Amino acid sequence: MKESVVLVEGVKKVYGSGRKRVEALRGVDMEVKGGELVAIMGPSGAGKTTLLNIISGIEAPTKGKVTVRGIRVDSLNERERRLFRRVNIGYVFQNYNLIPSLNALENVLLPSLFSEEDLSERAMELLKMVGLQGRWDHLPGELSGGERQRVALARALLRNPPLILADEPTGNIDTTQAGKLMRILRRIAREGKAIIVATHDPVVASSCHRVLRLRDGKMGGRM
Amino acid sequence: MVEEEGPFTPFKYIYANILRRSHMSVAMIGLLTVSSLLLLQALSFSFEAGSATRPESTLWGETPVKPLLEEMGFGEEISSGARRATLGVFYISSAVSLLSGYILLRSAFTISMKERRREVELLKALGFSRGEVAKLLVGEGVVLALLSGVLALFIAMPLFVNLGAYMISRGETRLFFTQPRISPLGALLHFAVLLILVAVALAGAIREVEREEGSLL
Repeated sequence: MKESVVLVEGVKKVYGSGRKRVEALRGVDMEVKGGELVAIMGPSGAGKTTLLNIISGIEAPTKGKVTVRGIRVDSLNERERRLFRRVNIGYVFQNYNLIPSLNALENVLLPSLFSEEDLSERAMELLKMVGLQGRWDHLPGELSGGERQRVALARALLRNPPLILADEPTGNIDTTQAGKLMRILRRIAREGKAIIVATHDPVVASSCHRVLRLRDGKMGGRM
Repeated sequence: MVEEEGPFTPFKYIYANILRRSHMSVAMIGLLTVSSLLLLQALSFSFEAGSATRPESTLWGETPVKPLLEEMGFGEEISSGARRATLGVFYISSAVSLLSGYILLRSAFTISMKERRREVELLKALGFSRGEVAKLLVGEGVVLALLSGVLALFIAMPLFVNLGAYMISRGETRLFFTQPRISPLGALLHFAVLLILVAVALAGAIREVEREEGSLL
């Protein structure tokens, strides 16, 4: 039995109050183990991003428990959550979020900016792993969407976090590139990391080990 | 950067940002140089005025403005009312220059901060603290300010002083050949005041952006 990396229990999230009250999540339960690549599928507005933000501690749940590697994320304060994120989570965004003035290698190294450690070699290895070793000195503007997303993935892996969260990682790239990215994600999962991919693309979801359906803020069963 | 030796440091980040966002950097350096120039003007007006009454307190040494001051009657017997009025004009000009310099700086930083909201949000999502993000922004401001200060002190200021003297003397002085003597104390004071202005303007800009568009840092 593999160790549980993410445990979400009865998580609710409410924005606003009174007439403007919006229930983004209405009691979500899920568990992801090390080595698992899990897709969260659902239409836009279903609460996928909110759920990822709550797991990573960017947002706090209104109710419920979130445990990542034994740490109760929902009870951490702002500073603790920031440190928790740094060590435990690699985030991949839909719009890549690379810094345009930094080349691929520098973007991968970004999370180590204020640390004394020299991670250049590891960063180069990661670029090689995502198939971009020859393009380390290219600026994001000189890379295609798929290549940018692979740089972003290498950046998410720099600190070797046990959990990777990807929010619509294939939303802006073509299917060939998306397939490439998913192959890399599967390989990373095989090495023992837990990966959660939020997507509304059934093709992407079908290449994950397990698919969780999120609809109107509730989990709608497995596939 | 050509070589990628050693860890990726905040300095490299600032350096890459200034170098590769060159359109923005050039605009910032331009604006900062102008405000730096206004600041120099404020300083030299005050000190010219002071040195006209007390020659031993000269900050800038022999500048082309000095003979003009003498021509205007400083150093000779003029009525105390006229002296006070002239000094008053100098000091008011100083204050106006300083204020204009500050307003320019402040606007430049506000535009720059608005442009970089996404970058700041990304750094925070990656787990950087407020302090670390602020270090990057302030560091870049300081580097740009120092560059602009040097430009203003050694290129822009001599140019304007000479041009001013040339115009006032109706072409009788030589143009662009007199380098005003700059005392070390004067230069030091210039950079000190410039850095303080940059710090205040940057803090003000961040607060303004946060008020208008929500939390930045």
